[in-house]
Amino acid sequence: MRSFHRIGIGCLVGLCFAAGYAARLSVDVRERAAAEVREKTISTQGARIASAGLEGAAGIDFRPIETLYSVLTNVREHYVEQLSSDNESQMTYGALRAMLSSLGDSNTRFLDPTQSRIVRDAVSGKFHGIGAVLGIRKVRTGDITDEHLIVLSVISTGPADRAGLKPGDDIVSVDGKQILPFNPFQKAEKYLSEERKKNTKQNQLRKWLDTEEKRIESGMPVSEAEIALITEDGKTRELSVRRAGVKSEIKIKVAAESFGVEPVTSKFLDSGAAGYVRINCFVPETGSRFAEALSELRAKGARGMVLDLRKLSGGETDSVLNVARHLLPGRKLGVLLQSRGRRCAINVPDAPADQVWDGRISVLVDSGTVRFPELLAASLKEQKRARLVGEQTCGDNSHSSVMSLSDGSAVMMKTGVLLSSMGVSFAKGVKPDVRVAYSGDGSNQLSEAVKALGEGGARQ
Amino acid sequence: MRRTGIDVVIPVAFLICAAFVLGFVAQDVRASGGQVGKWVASLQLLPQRLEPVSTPVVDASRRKPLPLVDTYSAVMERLKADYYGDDFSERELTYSAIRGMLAALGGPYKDPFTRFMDPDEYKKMREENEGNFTGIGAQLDTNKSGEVYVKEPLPDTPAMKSGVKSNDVILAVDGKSIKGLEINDVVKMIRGKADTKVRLTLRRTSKPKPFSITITRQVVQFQMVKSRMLDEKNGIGYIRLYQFNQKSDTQFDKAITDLEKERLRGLVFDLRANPGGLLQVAVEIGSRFIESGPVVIIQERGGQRNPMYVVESKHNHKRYPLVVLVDKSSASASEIVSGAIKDNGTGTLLGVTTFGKGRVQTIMTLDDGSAVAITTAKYLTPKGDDIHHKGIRPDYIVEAAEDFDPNDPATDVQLARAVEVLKVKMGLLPKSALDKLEKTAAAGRVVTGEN
Repeated sequence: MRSFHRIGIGCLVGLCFAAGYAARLSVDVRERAAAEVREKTISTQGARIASAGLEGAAGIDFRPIETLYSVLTNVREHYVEQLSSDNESQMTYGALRAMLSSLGDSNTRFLDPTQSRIVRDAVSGKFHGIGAVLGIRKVRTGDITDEHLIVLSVISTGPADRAGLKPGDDIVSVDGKQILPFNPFQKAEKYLSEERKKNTKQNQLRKWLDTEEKRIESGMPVSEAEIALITEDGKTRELSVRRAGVKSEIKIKVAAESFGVEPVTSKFLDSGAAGYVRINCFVPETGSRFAEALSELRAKGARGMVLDLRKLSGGETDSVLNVARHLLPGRKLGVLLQSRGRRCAINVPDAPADQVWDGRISVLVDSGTVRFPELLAASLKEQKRARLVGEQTCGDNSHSSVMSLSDGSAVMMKTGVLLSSMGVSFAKGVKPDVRVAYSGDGSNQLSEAVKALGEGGARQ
Repeated sequence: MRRTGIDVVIPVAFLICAAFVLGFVAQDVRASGGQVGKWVASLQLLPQRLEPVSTPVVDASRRKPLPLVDTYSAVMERLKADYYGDDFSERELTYSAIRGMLAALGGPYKDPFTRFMDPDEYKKMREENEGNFTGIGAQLDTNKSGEVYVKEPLPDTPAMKSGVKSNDVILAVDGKSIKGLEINDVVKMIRGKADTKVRLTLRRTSKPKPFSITITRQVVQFQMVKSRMLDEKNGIGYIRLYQFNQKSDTQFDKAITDLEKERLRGLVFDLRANPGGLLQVAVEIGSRFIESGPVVIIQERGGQRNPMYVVESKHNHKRYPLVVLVDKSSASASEIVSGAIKDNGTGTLLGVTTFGKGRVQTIMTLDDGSAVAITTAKYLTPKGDDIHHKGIRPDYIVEAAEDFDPNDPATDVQLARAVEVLKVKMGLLPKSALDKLEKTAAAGRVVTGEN
């Protein structure tokens, strides 16, 4: 009787298992049918929904991509030559290049695989080219926009630094080729439109146009020059630069090569028991090297530190934060202002107490102090953690991100601006507390910085 | 029984419930392998985060060409989401992308003719090809003090009929002052739909006060042809064609008919600075100068040759001794016509080597009102020469004078030489009159490889 019960219960359990299984099956069938309906609606409206959300109430409009698509289809089908896969990728590059450069923002551009590798390498401490950070500055005269190639900063001990290129130098020509703006035809176009107005004599106009043609043919577009200078190619380039305060153009020969840089160098200054720490570049190891330098100086009894941020640019957020954590642990380094009004605080991580520098600090800055180093200097100043000595910084607060594409090329895009820890823009540069112009080998600035250590105000 | 019932029923009920649940989720357990795949797939659909710059590079050997449309839309979405800068128009940015894509196709020097036209540019081109526009038909210009004035009211146009005169300075359009505006903006204000009215406020030296004229806009034809008698005694006529559009053929016909009334005996046909135009019109104009055979040969992608033969109905005039003026701006359709004349030996070419555009573009309109011109074929002269990047070398090389002013025929040495050549052809001058001219290989078909 007992065993019969057991068998009965066993059967019952088995039946229920089967019932459960069946119930699930029917639920699944119903769900799948519902999901299919849902999927169908999503697949036709996905694109619409995605762009409608971003464009807001202005109306659904996804025709631009259709225009692009039909142009591409027409070219593929009807162009006089059969397109090769090389043509196809050149077309993609051309499209991205033109699309991004039409934004007129030198921080937003397309990087082909070679350029993109150079950018990546620089982040990891391998530099190429002449070792200068170049920027494109727009200069407007009347209705003509000229773009100048400006040395924002040089990488310490790199070829440009050794050859004597200085932040602020305006590169006029490379290897005798004059630097031309993005659109070199502006002047010619202007002549032609003026000719329509004034009926200038044909031969006069022709002379103008011929001069322009020669100028353009013998010149080098600004973007091409920039690429030539930042690409490793083992060539020696002759630059003509204009420098503030110098009347004639300066000729500088500089080799473009591949080189590495010691991220941090330091020494103990006998005068005034102070240490000197120089950051040469922000790479992943900079933070740990900086910590080592600090503990070495502390061991030697340094009570103050001169932090040299002259001729220093860029860097990735993380490598900058790894340095900042020894100076401003747990504090705010700055604010990143992003599109559509998003604000994002850049917080410094904490560091063990024995790794935090609590002595006095003075920071050396100059016009070659660009972007993150500027932010670091500004925030150290604002939080009364350091006195700044030297010259006004560059004033470039743009923050850009890189979007990698599948073939090794990339899109660099301006995605925000940096504000100091108190939310102040440093777009016009950070002013030093003690203004000392650079002269000779810059040791005058250093001795002022050492003096500033003694004047106090640098302790928390 | 009853006692056992109670302590058995509870565990049994529990067992039954457990069995049901187990049965229900059994599939999940079995399918969990697939489920992971689904999760991963759904993760990929999430918006990607901005990657830091140190993302490892894809192995170079595994690179595939970037798909254009996908990459474009990915970059566009990212721009819309994260770009920090001035607002941009997605349409303008897309137009830039299209221009960049087409420029990369052949490079700026190899194929500048495959190009994109935004709706405004395309509208302008259509007007040029149709040969008419709606407006008042006054040719405007800017004078030395920057004022916009009427250079010339075109014949048979609303401007002419309502009494607008040359040199009238325009002060206002529809009561709005145009001071400081660019001439193109003024033109835009004056243009409009047919049968609508526009009021111009004008200043005329003969009148003490500015006055207004109200003009009804009409469809106005571009003047594509200018003609005159150069030498009435010897019957030497001159026809200049500015462009090959839908009105060129009838205007050319009228011009030659007018000249015939003045006893035309020899013709100078001026194609200088003529950038070309419609292929069919080139064939029609060219037909007037050639007896038979092809005017031009179209070579499609793949190499197939389609000759376009002389249109015999265009043999509606007597043929005259002919000199054709060409220069380095004579392009495309101008080169078809001058190439056909040269290959057939029915006229003498004089001037400098032509532009060298031997490609045919097809214009495809797009839904948003823009259009794309795509090089779809090559064209060859009747003898089979591809003149692309070479141009047509005229029979007599004559450079324009240093002080050549298009508004002053006295400075036009090319025209003067053309008349001399024509006079020799007509037997009015001895052959020796041409000795001073630089003559290229006698029989004509010279296409030097200057690239």
